[in-house]
Amino acid sequence: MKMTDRIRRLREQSLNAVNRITAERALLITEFYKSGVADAEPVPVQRALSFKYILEHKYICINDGELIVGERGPAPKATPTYPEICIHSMQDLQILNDRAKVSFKSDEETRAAYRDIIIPFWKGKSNRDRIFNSLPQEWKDAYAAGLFTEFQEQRAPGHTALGIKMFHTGLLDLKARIADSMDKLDLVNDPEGVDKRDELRAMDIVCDAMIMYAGRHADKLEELAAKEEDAKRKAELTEMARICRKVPAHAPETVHEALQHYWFIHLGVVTELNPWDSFNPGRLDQSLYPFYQKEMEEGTTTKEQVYEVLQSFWVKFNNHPSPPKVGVTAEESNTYTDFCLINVGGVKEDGSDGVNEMSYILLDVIQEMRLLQPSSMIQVSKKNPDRFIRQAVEIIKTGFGQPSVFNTDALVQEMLRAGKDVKDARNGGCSGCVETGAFGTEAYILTGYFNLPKILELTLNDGFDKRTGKQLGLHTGKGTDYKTYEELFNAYKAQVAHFMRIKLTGNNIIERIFMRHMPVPFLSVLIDDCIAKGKDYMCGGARYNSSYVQGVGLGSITDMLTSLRYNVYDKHNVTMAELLEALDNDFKGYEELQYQLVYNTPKYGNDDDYADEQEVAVFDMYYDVLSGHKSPRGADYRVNMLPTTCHVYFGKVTGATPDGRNAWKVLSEGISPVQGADTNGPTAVIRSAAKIDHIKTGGTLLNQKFTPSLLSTDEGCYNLVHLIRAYFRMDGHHIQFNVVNADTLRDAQKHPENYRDLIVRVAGYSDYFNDLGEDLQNEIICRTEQTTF
Amino acid sequence: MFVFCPKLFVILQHIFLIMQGLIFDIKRYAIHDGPGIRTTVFLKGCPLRCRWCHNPESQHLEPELMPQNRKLGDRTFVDNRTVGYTITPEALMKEIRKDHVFFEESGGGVTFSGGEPLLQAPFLLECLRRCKAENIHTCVDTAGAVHTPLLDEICQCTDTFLYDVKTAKEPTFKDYIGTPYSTVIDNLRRIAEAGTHIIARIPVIPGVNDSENEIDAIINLLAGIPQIHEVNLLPFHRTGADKYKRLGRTWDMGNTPNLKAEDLTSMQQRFVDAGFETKV
Repeated sequence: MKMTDRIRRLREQSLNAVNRITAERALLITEFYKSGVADAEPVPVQRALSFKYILEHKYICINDGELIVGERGPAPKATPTYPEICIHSMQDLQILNDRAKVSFKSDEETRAAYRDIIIPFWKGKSNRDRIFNSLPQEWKDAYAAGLFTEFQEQRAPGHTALGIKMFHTGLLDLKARIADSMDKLDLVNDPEGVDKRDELRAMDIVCDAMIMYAGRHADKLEELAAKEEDAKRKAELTEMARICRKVPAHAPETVHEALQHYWFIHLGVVTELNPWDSFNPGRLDQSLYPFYQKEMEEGTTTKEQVYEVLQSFWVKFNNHPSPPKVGVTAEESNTYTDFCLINVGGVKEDGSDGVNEMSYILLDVIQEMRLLQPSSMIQVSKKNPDRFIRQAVEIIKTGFGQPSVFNTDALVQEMLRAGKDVKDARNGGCSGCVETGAFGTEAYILTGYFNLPKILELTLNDGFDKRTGKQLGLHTGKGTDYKTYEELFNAYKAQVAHFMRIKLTGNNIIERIFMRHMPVPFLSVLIDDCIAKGKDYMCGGARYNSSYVQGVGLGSITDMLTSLRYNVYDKHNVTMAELLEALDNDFKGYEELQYQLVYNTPKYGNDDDYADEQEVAVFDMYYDVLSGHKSPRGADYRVNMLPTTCHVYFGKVTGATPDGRNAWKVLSEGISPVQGADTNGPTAVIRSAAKIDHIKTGGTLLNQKFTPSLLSTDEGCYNLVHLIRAYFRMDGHHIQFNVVNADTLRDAQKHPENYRDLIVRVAGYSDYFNDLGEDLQNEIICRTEQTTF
Repeated sequence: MFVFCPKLFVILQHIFLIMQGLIFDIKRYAIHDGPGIRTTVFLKGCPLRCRWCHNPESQHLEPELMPQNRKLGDRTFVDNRTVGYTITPEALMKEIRKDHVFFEESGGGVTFSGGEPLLQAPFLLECLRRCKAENIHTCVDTAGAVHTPLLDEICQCTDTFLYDVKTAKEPTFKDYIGTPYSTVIDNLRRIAEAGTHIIARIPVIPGVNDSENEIDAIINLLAGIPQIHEVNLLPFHRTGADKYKRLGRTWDMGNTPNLKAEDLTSMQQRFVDAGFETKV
């Protein structure tokens, strides 16, 4: 359904708003902690009171014409910082202001606030300070060398989505549950009893704070209504005020109420801290459908009204860029996108087809709004009709990388394998890029990317990193010492295990710091069973807890190992000594050899078992190395395979590699083949990608690039539907398509002014082509274009 | 050293039923060679020499050198690769089976193209039989330019023929294509009599078969064959030009420009008016 004029205006306002830093939140939290009012309180209560203080004092922004209200900052795209997590130095602010891509502007007044008030108070006291103060030197060395990244050094864990149940629950219901939990405490016999009491008190405070915050919106809306001269808008403002008095205190009963209810909850989560992946309404079609159905039956709303309120809701996400990131965190996730991924489709709790009329409405909204945020995806179960996928393909073929496509049946299997209840699994989905989770019941936390290709570089150099000049790995020998491929692979495995040990040690230190210092009572009340257990989300309060280390560069490492096995050990095309010399010289003077490595060596992504054996071996090894470990909050460590923009950063720290890749160039992305290495068409890519056991992961990411001509006919679109179905029959987790010509992208590089609205699929998210760094732009251009002759 | 003798190759195939085929490519995710997602096997060797042929490497019934320039950084390397290799039916089936899930999902299958697949009729038949046994949908993309006693059996194992109808005028055929026109027409009738489903494929070549006269003749020919309901018009394109150079041959189409789908709209309408489901 076409946008109304006011939605068009709101959308334009969002698109044109400048991403900038606001000191509002940072100043409020500084005032709060400076005042010392909560100094005598336990940490969770301190955090709850600081949350309340912010919500009491922050500016209430209501944009002209909008139907859903509430901004994280004082205006759209005015982005707060979280000094208790990470202090932005004056230099950081300068970099954020000046950098060419993903900048955040700051004015003199804002900078003065950081210089004079925020930085002096928090210096040495932020979580980031605590983290770097506690981490061992070997962690710091490996981190500096780019062996892995750390998600929690500038942002808080979150990585979760709201369950369907919360759309039928008000905060007053939660307060009753909190009181009930409080009543059941045994402060005499339960050694954790006192901690539970503190946590439950904090939970109760944040519920009140949020109800108060919604009330402040109602006040302001009433004020505006009183002044409003347009009768229609006046009525709207009055209705919106009514809604803000009702939700989130009480459970919503209409689509409009449900969306406002969620939006307050969303704002609460992203104001409390700066969690990864912001927050997520999860299975939005499932949650909204009962309201929609009832209202339509009763004739209390119209389709037009439903579309308009949804479109207004969509704009809210786009007003909220990801909090500013600097340093390695900016490198690994260099985007304004904050990864809220709306799930459409899939199955109901009882396992039946979940696609309903709201699913199609949401697809329409995605297509019509064509906004970067929120990200969107469809869940495809074997029970869903082809028509549903076909309609999504209609959006995909417009080339904006949304919605991405996920395999519900695989997600459910992944969750069952991880020991979840079948209902919780079916109520789950994916958030962030491709991360599987049980919505509303799980804390599934990503901890950082892991540079698999770089570790092979070290394995060939006896654990020595030439770039930083440090011995980082184990002394397993040099490349020439490995007499067989098996010896080489075993040494590689030992090095991977070595760096995983370092990474997990760091993870556990960091998790402890969050458990002690950064409880999130507001997020906790939303996720089962934090209230029942009297335990914070950070501390294992969720029903299920998982932690991930995300493997990067599966395609690259597969081709590197394959090249060694093929050229050195099997075919003797080159000796290890000669190959290592070529790598040391970045192939200068060894171009013939490089040619052999690039063009005449089996490659992953072609359904060639010779290459794909290494894919499976590396994946299984990575799985074995990581599995079986537990984190301090009791989470199981699991694997997933995705990079955001980290394959560019990891490439920048990795020298020339045996697959013929030049030094410092990008690595492969997700589980996609090395850019340009797949030459046998999309079915071969899919077959290769399906050879690893996706069910053992918590998410994999496969992107393909299609030329628009492939999807120019109905038949072509159906073939894409079939391709998706086939991949999912093979248990593939996720697939997405960039529908664009490389020539278009090259032209966009030359004339960015003509392509301001060009959106492409990067990894597990889409982005404006103009907002990507040049290396990432080139990487996307180099991906194999699936076309037809 | 093994010397490939094309005639001997075909004779041996026929006499001893040595089941080896000569192919030059296997293309997966072929979506224009019949219904659904398909794997197209290109058999090498063709008795015709259509001037517009975009796969000149398909013509000779023997492996041949077709160098390819490949770029790596600033440097260009010449890859002296040979086009064409022999393969057993079992090895070929192994390749075909790889995409069975895609066939099942899309209602696709395998298409034997060329070259002229009927030129290696025993091998073709053996592959078709094996596909049939495994319930894999089969198409044979042929110009019908070879007389073979195996045609009836091939018909029984083929779900759909993609039959090239380049012209319905014998003189045009003679001028531009070469082989006896009567063989092509005989084969078309034999396939039709066998009751096999046929899709007519018409490469539209400017100045050769795109006149009203030519099109009327084709429509007349097809109208007499009840098995043909569907016509595909294939617009002329120049993508083969570079291959002629690489094979050391000359390309006779001069500067004839590419046709676009929209150039064929009125022609398509004529076929539609004549009662054919027509795709461009």
